[in-house]
Amino acid sequence: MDRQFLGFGLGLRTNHFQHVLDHQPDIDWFEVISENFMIGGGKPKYYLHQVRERYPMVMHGVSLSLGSTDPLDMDYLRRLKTLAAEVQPRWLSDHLCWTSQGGVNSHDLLPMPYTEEAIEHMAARIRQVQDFLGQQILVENVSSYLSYRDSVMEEWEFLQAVADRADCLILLDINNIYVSARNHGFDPDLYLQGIDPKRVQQFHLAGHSDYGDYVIDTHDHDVPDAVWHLYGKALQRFGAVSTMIERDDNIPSFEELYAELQQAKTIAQQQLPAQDLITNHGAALA
Amino acid sequence: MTQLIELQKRFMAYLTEGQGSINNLVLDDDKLGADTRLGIYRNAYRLRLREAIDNDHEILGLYLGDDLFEEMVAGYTQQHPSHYRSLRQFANQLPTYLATTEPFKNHPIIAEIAAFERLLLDVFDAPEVPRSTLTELQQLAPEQWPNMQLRLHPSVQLFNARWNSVESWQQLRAEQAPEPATEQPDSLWLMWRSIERLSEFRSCEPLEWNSLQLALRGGNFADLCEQAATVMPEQQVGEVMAGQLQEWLSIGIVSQIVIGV
Ligand SMILES: [Fe+2]
Repeated sequence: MDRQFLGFGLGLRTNHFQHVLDHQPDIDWFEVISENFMIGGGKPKYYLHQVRERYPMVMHGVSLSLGSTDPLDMDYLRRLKTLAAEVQPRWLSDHLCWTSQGGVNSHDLLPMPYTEEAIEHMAARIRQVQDFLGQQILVENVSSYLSYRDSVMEEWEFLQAVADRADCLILLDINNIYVSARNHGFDPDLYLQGIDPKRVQQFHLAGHSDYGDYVIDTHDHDVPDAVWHLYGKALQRFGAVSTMIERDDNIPSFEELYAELQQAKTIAQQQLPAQDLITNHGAALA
Repeated sequence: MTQLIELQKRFMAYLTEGQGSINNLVLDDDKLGADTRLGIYRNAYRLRLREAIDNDHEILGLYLGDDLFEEMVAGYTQQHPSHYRSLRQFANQLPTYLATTEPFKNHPIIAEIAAFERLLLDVFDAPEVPRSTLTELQQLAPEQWPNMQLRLHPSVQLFNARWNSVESWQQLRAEQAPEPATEQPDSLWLMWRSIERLSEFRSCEPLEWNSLQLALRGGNFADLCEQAATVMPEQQVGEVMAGQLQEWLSIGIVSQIVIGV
């Protein structure tokens, strides 16, 4: 497989900027939230460049609103392209969702109805974004808490259809699969089986809050056993995929996150032959 | 089948106003009803906006106390749905909201504290650019001085307070009770990000304030001196203004010395 495998990374968070520079921890790569570096520059930008000089990076966006019926925000895309030219990330990603409508931003990752209209709409916009950026992007599955009456297929069928029609790659968030499976009562294994390994370029791992009847994707806890378990299955299905832990709230010390990332590595070593886990920074995406 | 655009309009109206005809588009099941499922999104929406204000306005929150803070969050969120891509800008209109809305507008110091805190955010994430040094100034020939223009660092902000808002901010920051609100027109403050990338501010005399304003408008050193000459004996101007300029360079608020022709 000619997939780039960056190894095991972490989301770069403000609280850890200085630690990362002072200690240069043994981390294969970092993911940064694009939007955090798109206003002005100042202090965050300084750290971004310092960390980038030392580590491979990928850029993860949260507000492209790929599924929205508002026009694509070309001003945002221009700024994203400028930032990408500075950072030279291995790749860029955003979500399989919509965030805004009528110019109002929900600042949330809202679910799409799984319909033919929505596939066509989303795929066309992803193609437009890829044409503008001059590269393939990754699209990530989100956690959801409701389904629409209009949906005519399963989420994974929708994701696969969008990816095929847009010719984009997939960022599979293992925690989000687990969360949505619990909230909607589907079998997460079916989700994994429904996704074509050729499209999968990155994994997210994260924690959530369990309320019994439903689960909320809060990114403020350690990765729980159920998600580790599903991660193991994902590795069996997809092979070595660049993996990172997303922690956005209640952020622990860097050492704690580092230890959690070692757990991901250990699981990968149990599931996959050693030669598959050799990092391959390959050629940049065409 | 509801068109995608219609579905999104209804969903957004539900989030921002808490009502609308969205329920019949959402699946009910034995596990959870549509109302509960939608409620998860509505709650998250409100919490997220509240948190954005809370993060940006920690000291304002202390000044207001819990009840007034919640009243402000509810009112502002209702009146100003976010038109921004980043939550960092969501509360941009908060000072104006506080200056024009009951009961906050009856205590103008509240809007001022909010405005000051927003400027601190601007100071924090203004672009970083190189800073001019004292050495650079020393290398200029004396005849170049009058024509030099000072480009100030992008983090520089000037804040003109009418109340003891900055002092109250400082007291709360130091975990002290703030003094009662007092009117004190023309309290002038210079704010900037230091060479060590720390946010700083200090009070400013009218002479320095006017010099900074004029420098921001593109005035050269001769213009600054001319302006200073209106408030001091002419023979002092050169020394005072040179001293002031050296101080600006030492705290890192000059990003470029441009020699005009
Ligand atoms: Fe994720």
